[in-house]
Amino acid sequence: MIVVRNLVKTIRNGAHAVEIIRNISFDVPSRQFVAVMGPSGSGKSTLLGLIAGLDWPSSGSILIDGQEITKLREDEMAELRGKKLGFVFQSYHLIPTLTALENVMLPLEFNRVTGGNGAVQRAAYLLESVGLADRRDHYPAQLSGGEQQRVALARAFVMKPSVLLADEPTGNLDSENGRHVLELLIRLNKEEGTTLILVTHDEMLASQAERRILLRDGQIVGDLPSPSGRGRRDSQQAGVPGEG
Amino acid sequence: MTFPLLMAWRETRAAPGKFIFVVISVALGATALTAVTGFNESVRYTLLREARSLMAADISLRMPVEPSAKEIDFLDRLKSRGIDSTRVTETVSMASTGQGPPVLVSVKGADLGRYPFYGRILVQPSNVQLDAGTVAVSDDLLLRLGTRVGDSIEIGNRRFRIAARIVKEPDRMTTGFTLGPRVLFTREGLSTAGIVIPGSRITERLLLKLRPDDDLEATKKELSGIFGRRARITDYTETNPQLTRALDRATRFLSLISLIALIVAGLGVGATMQSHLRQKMPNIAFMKCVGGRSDHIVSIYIAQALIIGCAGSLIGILLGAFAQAEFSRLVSRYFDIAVILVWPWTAMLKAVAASLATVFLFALPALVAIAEVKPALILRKEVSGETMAPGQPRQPQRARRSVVAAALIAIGLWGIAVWVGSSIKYATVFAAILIGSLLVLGALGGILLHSIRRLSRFRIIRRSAVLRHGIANLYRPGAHAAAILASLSIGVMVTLSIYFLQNSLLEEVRLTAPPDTPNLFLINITDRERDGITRLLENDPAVIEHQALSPSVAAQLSTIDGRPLEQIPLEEGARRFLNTQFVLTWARDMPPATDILEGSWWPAQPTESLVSVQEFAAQALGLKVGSILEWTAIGGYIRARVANIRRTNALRAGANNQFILSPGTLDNFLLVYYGSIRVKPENAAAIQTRVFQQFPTVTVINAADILEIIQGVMDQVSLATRFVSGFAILGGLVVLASSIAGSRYRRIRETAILKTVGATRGMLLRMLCAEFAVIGSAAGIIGGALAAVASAVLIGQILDTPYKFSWPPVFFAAISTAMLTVLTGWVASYGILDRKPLDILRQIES
Repeated sequence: MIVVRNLVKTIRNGAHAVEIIRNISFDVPSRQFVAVMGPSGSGKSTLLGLIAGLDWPSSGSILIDGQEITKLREDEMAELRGKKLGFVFQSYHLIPTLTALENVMLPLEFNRVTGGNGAVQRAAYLLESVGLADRRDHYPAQLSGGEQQRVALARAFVMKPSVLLADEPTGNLDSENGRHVLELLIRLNKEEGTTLILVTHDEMLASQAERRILLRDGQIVGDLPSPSGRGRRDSQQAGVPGEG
Repeated sequence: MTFPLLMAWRETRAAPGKFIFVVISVALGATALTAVTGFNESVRYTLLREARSLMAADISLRMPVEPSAKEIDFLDRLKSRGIDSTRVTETVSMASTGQGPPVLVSVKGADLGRYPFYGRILVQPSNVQLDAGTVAVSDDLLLRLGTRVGDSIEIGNRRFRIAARIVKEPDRMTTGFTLGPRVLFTREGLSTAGIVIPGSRITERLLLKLRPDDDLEATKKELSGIFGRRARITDYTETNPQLTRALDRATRFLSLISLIALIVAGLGVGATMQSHLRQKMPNIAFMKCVGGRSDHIVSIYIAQALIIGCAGSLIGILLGAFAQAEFSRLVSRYFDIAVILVWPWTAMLKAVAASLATVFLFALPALVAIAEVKPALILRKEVSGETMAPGQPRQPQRARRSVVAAALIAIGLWGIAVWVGSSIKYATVFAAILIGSLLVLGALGGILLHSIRRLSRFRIIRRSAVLRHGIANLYRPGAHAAAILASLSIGVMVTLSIYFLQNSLLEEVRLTAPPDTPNLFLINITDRERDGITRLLENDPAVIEHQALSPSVAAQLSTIDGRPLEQIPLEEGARRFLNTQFVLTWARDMPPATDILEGSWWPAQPTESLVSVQEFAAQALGLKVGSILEWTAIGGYIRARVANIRRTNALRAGANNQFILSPGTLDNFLLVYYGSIRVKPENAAAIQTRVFQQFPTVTVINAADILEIIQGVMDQVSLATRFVSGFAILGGLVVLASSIAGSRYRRIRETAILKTVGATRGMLLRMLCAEFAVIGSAAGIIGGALAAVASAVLIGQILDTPYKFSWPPVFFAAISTAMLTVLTGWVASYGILDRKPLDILRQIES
């Protein structure tokens, strides 16, 4: 459960102060799939970063599962991110010196959730889930854009986060790969039961969500259920198998 | 610890070539340190293993006089108990073929049937048995006299046939520093030469061979009871304390020099880790996103730095173990010992530990910066650091972290210097100079780069694309110009400092003697020869000036105011007075250039025995006017009251003695005379020849020969030092290569773009030359200037004399460093200029 109250984010640009986020408040119940939309410069990525604890608001509060994250120190926040948050980015952000398997294992190793074979098994399972079992020993440079994003997806889910944050996950992909990644995202989301917050300006992507939050000039100008309600129906119909 | 090592290994394996130069520079530092300390280990092993051979005995007693009858009696009693003994007498004399000037030689007479008790004297031909009429000589005497085996030479009162050349003497090192080539006599032969007279300066060694079940300590105690302070008693287990002390001092000094090579490597590590971590920032930011705490991530890169350190140090210690051999060759003339080279495990471990510590220290500043990487870096938009999280470091805290890192580096370097140099005092001075130099170099580097940037706006540089781009490469982000400048300058500074120090020391020795100072010294003149020598000196036209011959008696100070010397608490520097044989002389008049500090000079006919004490001896022994001193000499005791304490600046025989007695005090003693004369340097050989022809047992020492010997020793020492400091210079060049390799991709990309806009290969090459020539010559000039400052400080402290700066060495350093830097830059840039622009541009696009 995510609770955002009176969130403000101001940045200083030379002599001027610019309010990126202006007094935003909203709640996201557990397991909900939310799309955050808006034009460029509306504050979508900033909002995502604040929820992820990657930055600190100028004022306001953010609670994740009842824990106020704006008061946490950086290392405490890092631990929280490791345990509760997963990330998928437009630029994948794979570590180029690690293989696909090692990239997926990274959060497990950092958080000492499980060592040695346990981590390998979990990572291998997720790579198989995204269809890359045969590429586990390849480096990012040896993978296509779509494959890299799938590895990033697997890594995002490896810790079974309660919240997954995705910032334009298909932005660098062609439409075919983009669709494939989105399907995986939604399937894994249902399997793992996470809350999914997706930032996008892609209408097609947003249509898969249960709810849309529209931002403009740092303010919420709309907070509606998805017009097609497709996201909810798809999740009900999926009947996806659990972890093998 | 497993995960950080695992991550570090993953990071390193992906780009091993990136760190290869840094590994090499660490290896160079470890090689230098291992070679120096490993050599020490090998020498100690040799001394231990060959201890008996090096001493040629189980126990050695060293005395400046012949043993007394009582002492000889005691040795005979020991012989009846089965403890064998033999005598070895060493002194200096003159040798001549009869044609040409005589040569100063070191003479040894021994009972060759018994000596050495352990080891063997090797001569060539090997089957030669010396007798009273034959000698064996060293190769350098054959060279200097232009003679060969089978010929005859004159030494003392007679001629001897050269029966063999000396190949090896087992106890050569025990003899210590010798003047001139060596001549080996039988005892009979030496006694017939007439050069060993009562009172002359000799070194007598009494060598003892114990039975297997004899108690070493008990025997030494017995000997001490008989010989007292007249002899210095050592046994083979003490592995020649004098030698090991000299060895330790040399090792300490050279270890600190080799530490500089490690520090240069550290600079390279610091620069490489900085640019490495800069490239890794997005990764670090992401790791923080997925739960990586700052300390986790720091431990990964500490592990990576230590992997680099391990790789470099392991290669270095292996090379260093073999480099010992080269080092041994360099110092062989000085040590003259066949060192048994061993695997120096202790030295190798020490080098590994010092390398790892240095690498860790210099990686600290880059590692500290990890804490400041914000995970928000991962987002598309730049996020201002204005909003601070609770506990988020502000600018002053960031500065504080940097200061702490710098302080840790300084303290760490000092600690490593203390450990490597085994002396807090020397290490502190060394660390202060080094850290001060690094700070100055850092500041100068910053000023230089700033100045270069400003200078590049000048028309003369702007007009030339070659100069403009070449110089601009120095201050681009990630250029590491400051680190390269520091590492090259340090090596130049050390090498030039040694050169300046050596020259100043030699100059000081030369210049301390004013033009009217004596340059020939005559020693071992008997009473019988005194008048003849005096007449010769008065009548010889080549003699410009001479003083009256000074009488002398060798004596050992025994009591002060009735108290035995060994019961008087003496400071470290004064303890040598316990065993020194002083040359006591007498004088009617006060010597020239003398100031009386306390008391007064005696009248023409003093009524009691008085003594004038040199300032140094007075301070060391706590003497005052009125103190009663007693000495033990051959023939009796000498007692005198202190009449005055003086300071004498004259460099004349007899004037500078620690103790000068009043007339009549030495009347009942066997006197040996010595004198000093001044001749034109070109006439020195002729005077030596004339003196030798008439008085062959008188030794004439040419100050120029002594200077030559000193110069030879200093050359040897400075050669060894330059060998070690060469590693630092090499390390600096490797750091340069590392920086070029690190920026290879940027250089390739720039080359492609420049070629696209019309730059030729020649222009690109000249840009490279401009870049490297500027940094190389700057390093040479700055290193030379720092060397001048460091030398001035050291010379002022050691010699208490003003330092005279010399331009040519600095100029030469600038030119040669620039050339070496350009050459290294070319080699490291191999392949960069040859890539096709289109290939590169496509890669950039994709």
